[in-house]
Amino acid sequence: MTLPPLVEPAADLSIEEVRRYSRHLIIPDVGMDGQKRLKNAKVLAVGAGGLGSPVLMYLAAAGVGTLGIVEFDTVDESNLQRQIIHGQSDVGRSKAESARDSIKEINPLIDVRLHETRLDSENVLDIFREYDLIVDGTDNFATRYLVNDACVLLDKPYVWGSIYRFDGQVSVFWNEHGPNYRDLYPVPPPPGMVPSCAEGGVLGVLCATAGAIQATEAVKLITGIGETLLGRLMVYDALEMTFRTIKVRKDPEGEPITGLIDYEAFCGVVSEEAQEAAAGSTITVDELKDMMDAGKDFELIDVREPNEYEIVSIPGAKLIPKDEILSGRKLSELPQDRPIVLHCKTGVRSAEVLAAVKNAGFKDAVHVQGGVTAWATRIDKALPTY
Amino acid sequence: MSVTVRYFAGARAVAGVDTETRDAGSLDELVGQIVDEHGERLERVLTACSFLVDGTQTRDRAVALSPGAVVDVLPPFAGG
Repeated sequence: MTLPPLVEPAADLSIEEVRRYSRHLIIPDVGMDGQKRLKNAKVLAVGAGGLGSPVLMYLAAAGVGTLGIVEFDTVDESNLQRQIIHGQSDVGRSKAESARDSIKEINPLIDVRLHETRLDSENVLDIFREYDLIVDGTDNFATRYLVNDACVLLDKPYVWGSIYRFDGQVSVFWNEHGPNYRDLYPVPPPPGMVPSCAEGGVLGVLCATAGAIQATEAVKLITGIGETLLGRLMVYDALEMTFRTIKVRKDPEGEPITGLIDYEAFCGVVSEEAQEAAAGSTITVDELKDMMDAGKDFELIDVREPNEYEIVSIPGAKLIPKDEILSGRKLSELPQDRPIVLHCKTGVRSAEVLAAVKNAGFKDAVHVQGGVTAWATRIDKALPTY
Repeated sequence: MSVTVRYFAGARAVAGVDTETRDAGSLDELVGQIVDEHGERLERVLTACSFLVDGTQTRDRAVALSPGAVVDVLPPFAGG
């Protein structure tokens, strides 16, 4: 959909700016007018992670005058496989500050504003209000619904992108002129059903493909050129190497968004069944270690995937992936004669499995809080985390 | 009545095809057919999927499908 330019042009470009942006200036569709609009634009990146990295770096290079970054996290070694705005020497630093330093190195003319806070219903409207355009590159459903609803309430457009393993999805949502995220995904998936990138993995370079499309859409919206992805969803499959676009219309049955809600509760961390099952049936890794040291007779079952088991596992654990138990296929492999202790990476999947095995009659089954990650950080620090 | 189903991301992975043609008069009937064909793994994925019928997200499985309709099956993910 063609839209008018989102931002008014700045008064002028300096000689330095003309030199820097000359390859833009000689494209007739961008020109001086478009570059002045970029200079005047205020864009907020939610997250300086996999998608935020290419988005911020390219928008900085393109001359977007003000870049905001919402990010509360610090740089972890496991980020460096894809979050190319951060480097080895940034490990342990604030991601927001690390991103600002990279941006300044690419283009010192950019004004960078840091919002080193966790976005929530209390602060989102005040932060978003300062910007012309939002670019969503967060990593969880709760924040995605929060970003959407805040943009709807403030009548702001935003560029949405999402990635998992080899798949990317990108669209532009602007409730005033087209669909919003809830017209595509009205409610979050059942808790624990859809793994995050931390649980399921992501191809590093996928971030570049999806993030570059997001940055492209941001430039087009600011300058008012071309056909944006408003009303269309771009779906990228890196394995098949296909880009497919899907038409997305407003849902006539969609409930109007009139205020912000409790997004953690809306999306849930684990299902109610799992919470119920886990209440009173959760042990810590210290308790697990004590049970092992005391020579107690029990079966420790790891419900993760085989490739995760290969990376790190708790000694003595038997691998039966979650889906094999939930589908009933491997229910028969569970021992009848001794208690079952379930674990996964962090305790989310094992809680879901716990609910299922309890329903199947294994009343004394328990699961391990924090999973193998807690084991590797508390009991055996020589083991890797991932 | 012939309708086109397009699978994306994880739904495509478990269905093993990206597009197929079906004879179904309602979304419910269509879902029944594709689950019969592709099995319980697809059924599990579908519990989280959005169904876009000619571009409009549809939660009502009883909705009638007109001849030539295109149904997009989209799994959500939130990674960034």
